[in-house]
Amino acid sequence: MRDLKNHQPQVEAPTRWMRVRVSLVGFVFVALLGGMFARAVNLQIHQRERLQGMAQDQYLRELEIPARRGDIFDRRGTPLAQSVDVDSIWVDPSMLTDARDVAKKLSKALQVDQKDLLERFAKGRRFAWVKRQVTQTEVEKVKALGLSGFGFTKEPRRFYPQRELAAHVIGLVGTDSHGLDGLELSFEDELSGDKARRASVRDAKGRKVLTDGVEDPLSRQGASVTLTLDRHLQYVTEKALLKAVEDAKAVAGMAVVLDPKTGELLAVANAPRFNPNAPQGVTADALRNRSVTDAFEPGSTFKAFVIARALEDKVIAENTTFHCENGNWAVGRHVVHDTHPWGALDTRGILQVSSNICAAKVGQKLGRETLVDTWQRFGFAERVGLGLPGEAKGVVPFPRAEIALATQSFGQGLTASPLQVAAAYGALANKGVLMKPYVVAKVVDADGLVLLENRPTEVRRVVSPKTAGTVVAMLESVVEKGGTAPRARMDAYRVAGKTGTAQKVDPVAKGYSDKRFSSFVGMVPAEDPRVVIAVFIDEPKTDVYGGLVAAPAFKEIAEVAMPHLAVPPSRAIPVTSEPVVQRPELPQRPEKSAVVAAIERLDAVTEAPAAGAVRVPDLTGQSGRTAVAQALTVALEPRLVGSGRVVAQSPAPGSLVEKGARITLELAGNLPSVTR
Amino acid sequence: MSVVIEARNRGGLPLSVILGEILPAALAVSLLALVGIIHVTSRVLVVSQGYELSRLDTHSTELMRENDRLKLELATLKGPSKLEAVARAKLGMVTPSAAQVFHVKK
Repeated sequence: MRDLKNHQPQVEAPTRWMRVRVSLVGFVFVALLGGMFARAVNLQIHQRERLQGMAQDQYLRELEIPARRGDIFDRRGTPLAQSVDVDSIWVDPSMLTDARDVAKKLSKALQVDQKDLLERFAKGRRFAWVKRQVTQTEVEKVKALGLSGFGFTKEPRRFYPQRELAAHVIGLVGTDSHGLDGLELSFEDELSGDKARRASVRDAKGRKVLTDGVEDPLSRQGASVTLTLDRHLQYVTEKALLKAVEDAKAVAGMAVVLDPKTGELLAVANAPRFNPNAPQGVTADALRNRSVTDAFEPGSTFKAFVIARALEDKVIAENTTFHCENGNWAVGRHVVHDTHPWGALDTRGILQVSSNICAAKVGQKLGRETLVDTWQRFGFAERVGLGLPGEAKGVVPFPRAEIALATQSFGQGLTASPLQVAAAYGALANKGVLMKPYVVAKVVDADGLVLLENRPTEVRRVVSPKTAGTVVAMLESVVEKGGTAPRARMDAYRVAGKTGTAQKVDPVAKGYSDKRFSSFVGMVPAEDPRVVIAVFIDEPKTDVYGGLVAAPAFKEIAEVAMPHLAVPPSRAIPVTSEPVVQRPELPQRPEKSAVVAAIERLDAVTEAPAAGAVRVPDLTGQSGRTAVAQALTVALEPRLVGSGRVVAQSPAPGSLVEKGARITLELAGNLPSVTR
Repeated sequence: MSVVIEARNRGGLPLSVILGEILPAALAVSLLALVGIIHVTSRVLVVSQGYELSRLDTHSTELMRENDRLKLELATLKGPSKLEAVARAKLGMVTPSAAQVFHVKK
């Protein structure tokens, strides 16, 4: 700098006018800068919020990302409830030139009320729903109309792929995917997931620009619920129950299948049924999960508990005999009747022929307090706590009157739900230990975190194992010749059970009507019960006795349940005239059955071993990693579906396929095993 | 400024002196320009990636929907009532009687 100064040349001094001009220019610049600064302050500070809002309105759009409702599975991972995005149709009414004409066309195409559509168009200025959660065909129909101002948006819709199956337990959801009944309602918080709102940048053409990344879809996914129900048993139970209700021309029916050792409910069926995929027009009566919500006077099925308690307290012994008064016994001003005029009966006989009079005499011996205590110990007058809405508690009034003590001894004058009765029989089947029934095995969130896991829970010991075994052995006589339910007898398995035919109260006349509530509750195999099956038929018309209307349904369910649960038969079955396996006399290649041929077609398996062919290993039950490793070692290309352990594979184990063929492995989480 | 430099140069100011005076300012301006270019380029890239991400997100959502739909279809087809109907009508299958079920001891 010093050098510059030293070398400064002699510059001619500016003139005065020059100075004025420079000053003027400088002043103008300063004024302009000042003005700009003031404007900047005004825009950046004073009008900041308003302008920021205006800008964001132009390039930011708030996106609402709907939650993905969690699925509901049966115990083997079969989906019972799933959500799928479907189209909903909306309209901008301001863009409609002739609303009446549009409403008319839409009404015809979508089967909606024209008047209702016009009202919606009038209410919404820029937006109105036309029809929500429509089918693809309906979308095509609306598109074909070529109307302007219409839009299509995706909304999640709940589907129940098994239709009516276990619909009363699962429940249903409304249009907004909120649970309305059943587990859908009880587990609403867990299943619903979290709706997400996010601001997204839009360009001038309205295109979405995700400059801040995308959200993990799992964060919006609701938890999945795995039930203890077995789809196959549920299907068989519902089928058998419907048949029984139809055959008896009954008003309704209920059936419960329970694992007595764990308390797991394997099937809960009700008739009438409903299809949760199309709930419109379904009556409240059909929606009711009667097995859980309704309490009835159960009738003679309660005699087993009275006998059990009397044996436990040594009030009676197995060989104690009672006189059954030849069918009529006066108790105060009332008369107790039996269906047949029985004389002397021992304890087994009381259960076998179901004598009301002798059961009432056993009840008398027990006493009022002990009888009420018996009901309470077997879990009556107390909610089971399944977690389903509207669970019935049942009523056990204290039997002050002599007649009340008598009637309670044969299951009249107190109420219980089908679920409670099944659970109580479960205690007899489980060596005297009452287990807490449950239908939800576990609830797992999208990250695999277990939110709830139910395990077998012992409620209390009700009677000793010896007493329970004695009563179960006595109940075997019920299905034998001379008992009340020979129709429940099975050839291959020992069955123990009890019939019930209760009189129903007439709420108008305030007395008992001629309507009946018939039931059969049994366990199979009697030597080590694996299932308790309780069937209840409400107001049967053709026959009224439990042994005639409910016992056949029990047998139908049990005959499928036993092989399904891999229970070995109690006794050898003589092979019938129809041979099971027919061996050809000549050593010729047997013809392929239609089933085998179909399976082969499905699996694309080549039967003849050829060069380069490999046999498919059995990978079921293995973890995904191990299964992949094994598949690769035999030169197969694994394809995994799901996570967890292998539950199914295609092609089937043992099939011959070409090397390098693809093997599809279906994986599912670690589910509780059926057999215990 | 140029008038002053020219005036000074006419007086025999060495080029090195002028460069020494101007170069730092020029470098600073260049640096600022470079930073500006990098910033703008990165923003352009971010926006471009945003478009790509958006496209992939849409595609992923569509695939998930398709997957959900196919899972539902599969579950529907595997429904026991459908299976039973097909097994009975097309394959001629029947429910085995107790005598036809063989239990294999483990």
